Amino acid sequence: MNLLTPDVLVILILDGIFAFFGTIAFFLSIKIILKWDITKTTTTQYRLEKQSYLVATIIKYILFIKLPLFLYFIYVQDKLSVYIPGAMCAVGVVNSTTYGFYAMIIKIINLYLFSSWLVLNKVDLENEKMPYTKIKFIFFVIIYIFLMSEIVLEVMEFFSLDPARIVSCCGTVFSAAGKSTIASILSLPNTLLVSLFYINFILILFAYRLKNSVYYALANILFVATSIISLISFFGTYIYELPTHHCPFCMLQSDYHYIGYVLYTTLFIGTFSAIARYIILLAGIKKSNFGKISLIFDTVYVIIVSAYPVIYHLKNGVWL
Amino acid sequence: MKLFNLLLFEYALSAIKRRGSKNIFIFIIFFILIFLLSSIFFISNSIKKELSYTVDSLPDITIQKLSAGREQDISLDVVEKLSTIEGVSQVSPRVWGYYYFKNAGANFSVVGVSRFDTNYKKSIQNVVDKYDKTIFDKPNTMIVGEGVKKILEKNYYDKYFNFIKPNGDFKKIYLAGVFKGSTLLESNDIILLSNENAREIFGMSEDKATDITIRVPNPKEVNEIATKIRLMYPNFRVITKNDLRISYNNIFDYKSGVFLALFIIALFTFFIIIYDKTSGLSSDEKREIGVQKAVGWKIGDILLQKFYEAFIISFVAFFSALTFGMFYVYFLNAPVLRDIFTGYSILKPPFELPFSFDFGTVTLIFFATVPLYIAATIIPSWFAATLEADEVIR
Amino acid sequence: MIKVDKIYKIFNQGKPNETVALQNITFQVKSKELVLLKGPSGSGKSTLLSILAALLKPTSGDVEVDGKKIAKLPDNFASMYRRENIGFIFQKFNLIPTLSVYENVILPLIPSGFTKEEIDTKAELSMKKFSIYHKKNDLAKNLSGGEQQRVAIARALVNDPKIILADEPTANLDAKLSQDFLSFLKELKNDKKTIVIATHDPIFFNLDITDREIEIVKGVMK
Repeated sequence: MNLLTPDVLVILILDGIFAFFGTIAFFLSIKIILKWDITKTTTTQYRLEKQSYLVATIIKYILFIKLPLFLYFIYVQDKLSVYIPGAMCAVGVVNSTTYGFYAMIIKIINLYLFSSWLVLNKVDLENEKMPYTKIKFIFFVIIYIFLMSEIVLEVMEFFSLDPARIVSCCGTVFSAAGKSTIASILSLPNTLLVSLFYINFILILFAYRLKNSVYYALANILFVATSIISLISFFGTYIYELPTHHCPFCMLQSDYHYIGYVLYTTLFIGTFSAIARYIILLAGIKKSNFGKISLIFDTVYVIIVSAYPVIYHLKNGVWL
Repeated sequence: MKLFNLLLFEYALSAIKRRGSKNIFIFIIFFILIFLLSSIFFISNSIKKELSYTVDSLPDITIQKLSAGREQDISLDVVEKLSTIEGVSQVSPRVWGYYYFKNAGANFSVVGVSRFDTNYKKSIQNVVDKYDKTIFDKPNTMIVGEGVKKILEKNYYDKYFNFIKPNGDFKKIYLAGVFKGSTLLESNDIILLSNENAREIFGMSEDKATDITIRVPNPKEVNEIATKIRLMYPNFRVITKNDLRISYNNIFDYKSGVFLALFIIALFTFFIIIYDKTSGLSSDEKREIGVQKAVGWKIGDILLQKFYEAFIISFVAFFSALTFGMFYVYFLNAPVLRDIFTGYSILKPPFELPFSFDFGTVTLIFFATVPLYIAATIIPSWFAATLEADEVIR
Repeated sequence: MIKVDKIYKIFNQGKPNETVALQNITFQVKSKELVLLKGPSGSGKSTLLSILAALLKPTSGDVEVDGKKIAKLPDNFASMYRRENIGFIFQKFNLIPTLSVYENVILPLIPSGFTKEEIDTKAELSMKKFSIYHKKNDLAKNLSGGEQQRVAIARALVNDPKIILADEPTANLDAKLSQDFLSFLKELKNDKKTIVIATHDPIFFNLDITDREIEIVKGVMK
């Protein structure tokens, strides 16, 4: 409990704001789902139209704060690591409680969900009939559940951090000896994981060529997983030039020229754009730039991430 | 799809200027909040830095004799036994205590120094080396910190001071010099004199000391040795440097905790104020929005304008308050606010706050304030943007 | 070109202060016509004008402009329609007093994403046409009544709309300025704009440039 440092407190306050406004949006969404009828000309319908703008504004707000907050969250976890014995960086802290890991995963999912909602919203507003309004708000109800789960998990994580309990850091969490599910995935041979990564990328290229948005989006979603896994198990070690250093967070630090930010941002933009493209296509709009953006960013990610082992090999003549 | 409409942004800027008085009010409130918050963080960061300097210079292990839960003079015969422990490089008994100068209402720290034993604190040792002759050759002399000098002067003691011994007798000690410690927090109220004089002033016998400090060159061995000593002398209190560091930080954090509670209340109030101020639309404002809609502005355009307004005000306030906070803390040394942290005491050390800029702190202050401001404007902005234009333009 | 079809507007429907502002309004305005909506104050003319501008949604009925139904469009479409097709002249000018003439005139164009140059061109054209260009940097509140009138008209025309809607344009003007307005009206008619004016000022009655006069009393067409 004495880990309620100002940083943690600020995150909790913001969580409170998200929960508060999210709940307002939730109730409005329910109202809209139940009563929306664009053909009607009643005062109620006009009021609902206005209220849908409020929900959209709230969601935009939450997303735009969430994005930088996510990075701040990692930074705070990192800072807390000094209080938790055995934790040398954010990974240790996140893993010290049962909630930490799931909070992290849901956080990432939420970034995608919120962004997707905004794309759907834009598409809805660009159509006179506003055909996706009900779907959009049903979608938000689902997002709300994810949002509240994330907040609850995060709060519980912070409150259950125990400086008296020793935890493992990334060395053991991600190593073959570890017992967690992540460890079991990562204990698969690197050649397999890296191959999956590159095969995934080739699938992306094919799907793009074939102009098939469904496969393209699916390939990109898969790509999120293969990229992160291969980053942790293989590429990361070349960034750190240490075969046992399997940390997804340390690369955000100045020691590694903040390359983590570049990698994660390009990965997010690349993969999300594919999803956006699919949503736009569903709405019947054929043309969008998202396909190109996605391809560019995915490729940039692959290039940067591949550069590390290649350069290492060129410099040193061996692999790690 | 143009991503940024400069004209709209400029319009927002002009809208802020045109609603001058209301916006200035919000700006000032926000400014004050950030200013206070950032000042407090800057001060506490500086003090933590100061304290960590201080803690570093403390002894590795300090041993006190406890009797009935209270500290008692410790007998010097344990010194030899302690010196035999492996890993211990030096055992130094200390004679020191607090002397309450009634007339001034001030507590002085009286520290005895000896010619032959090296004092644990480098700064004090430096002073001893510098003034060596005077303390030990001339009897009954002392060297004092700057704060002490000032107080003595105020009470008309110029060249000497009369200590009152426990048995009521006076002990006159002459002032041989004034010194500045390397860490100003601690040394302002210190009086250095010979161990013999110190014992005399406190009425302590020759074979006793106040406590014993132990130097352990290898920090990894400190805990082991501390445990050994605890086993050897169960009625001694054994404190390691790390224990001290933790307890300093705890006192510190406790004060931060109180402050944080107040801060949350302040945030809440602030949220309400901003909400209230931005919701109250004058008839002029309403008409302006009505006109905007009548000439073809969408709800989304007005929302964007309102967002730009909030963004501009909060960012400008943020940066200016932060800068002003830095100026206040590091340049002016934070008059008034500083006392909250250092406690009230006549001998307030006039120390300077060391500059410590931490990007993490700035980010913290940002997340604690700007999103809150913008959140407070969400509903008022929406309300403004969804006004029925028809009613207001008649 | 403008087809008004069975427009009803009821305010505060279902509440004790329920008011029927318009009942079963149906008429047409052909392209480039000047139509007068005559009627005493409170007859619902302003309400009807707002509905024509898609600024207010009717309780039932619709308005079709060039084949497109506009009365019940969602906000962003209604706003786009208004922005591109309508020039609105208000009863009280409704200039923003603390903005300059130029800034007032370009108000409709700001959210459209035009470049500064495009906006300057359009604004200059409109201001010059109504002889207010020389005062472009003056604050609106410092202008005389006549000058304000011209700024209001310049603003309404800056986006080159097809349709001009004027709500009691001479209500706050003296005789001279009212006459000035009439000459502007003639100019607009010559520019082949479709014009609808809601007014009870007799100065507009029986003008030769008027194509039709429609009378509305207590929300009902006569």
